Amino acid sequence: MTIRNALILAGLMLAFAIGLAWANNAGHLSEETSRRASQVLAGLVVVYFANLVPKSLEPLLAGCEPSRAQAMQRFGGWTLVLGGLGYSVAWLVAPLEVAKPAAIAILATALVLVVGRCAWTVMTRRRERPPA
Amino acid sequence: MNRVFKALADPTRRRVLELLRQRPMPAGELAEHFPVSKPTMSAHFAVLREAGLVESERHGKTILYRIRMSVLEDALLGFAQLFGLAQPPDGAADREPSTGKERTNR
Repeated sequence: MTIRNALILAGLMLAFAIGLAWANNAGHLSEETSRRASQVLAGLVVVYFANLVPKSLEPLLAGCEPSRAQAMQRFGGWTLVLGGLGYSVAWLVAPLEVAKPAAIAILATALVLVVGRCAWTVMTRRRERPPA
Repeated sequence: MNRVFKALADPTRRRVLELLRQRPMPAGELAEHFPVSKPTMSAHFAVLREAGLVESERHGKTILYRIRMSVLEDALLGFAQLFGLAQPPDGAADREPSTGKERTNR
């Protein structure tokens, strides 16, 4: 992602948040709807960036066997995309008292899986290196 | 995105991507899986490279290809395989892939 696109995305997110706050204050949206909408957007932002993970995890996995690095990249991308979608869907459809813990649990599980597998891939890479 | 759809529309290129999903492979090893000429395979690789779905790296005399697909592109490949997106008639894999720059005889 270029700096220009990142700034545009950040601007759109801020505009959306300001729009929601304004609509809430003006009485056009209930506080619940406003809260759900902002959290759904947060989940979609995770999906957007997770979509690009398979193309951008390379520096971290440098030195790994290519097939294992590639498998890790695909796993990371898919898991985080599904985690982000799950986060959004939880905020979209679950009752408000359940939505927050459910959404956090879904996204946290995805993150733990990705970080765990990434750490395992990097650690085993070190063990695979032949002695100098 | 048009380039991605064009790249995924051809069954040979989809098969190349499926093979590269397993692991990065040299161009020669990839070409062994297809009954087509080397220039034809090179043209297929060029279309995939232009779409940003694969990247190539030169190691001495061999060119190593590796997949470079986002999750969305990966999902599109899955859908294209499932529903046979723009499946051409039998034997089409033997023809030169369309690069969008064909010349017409006048």
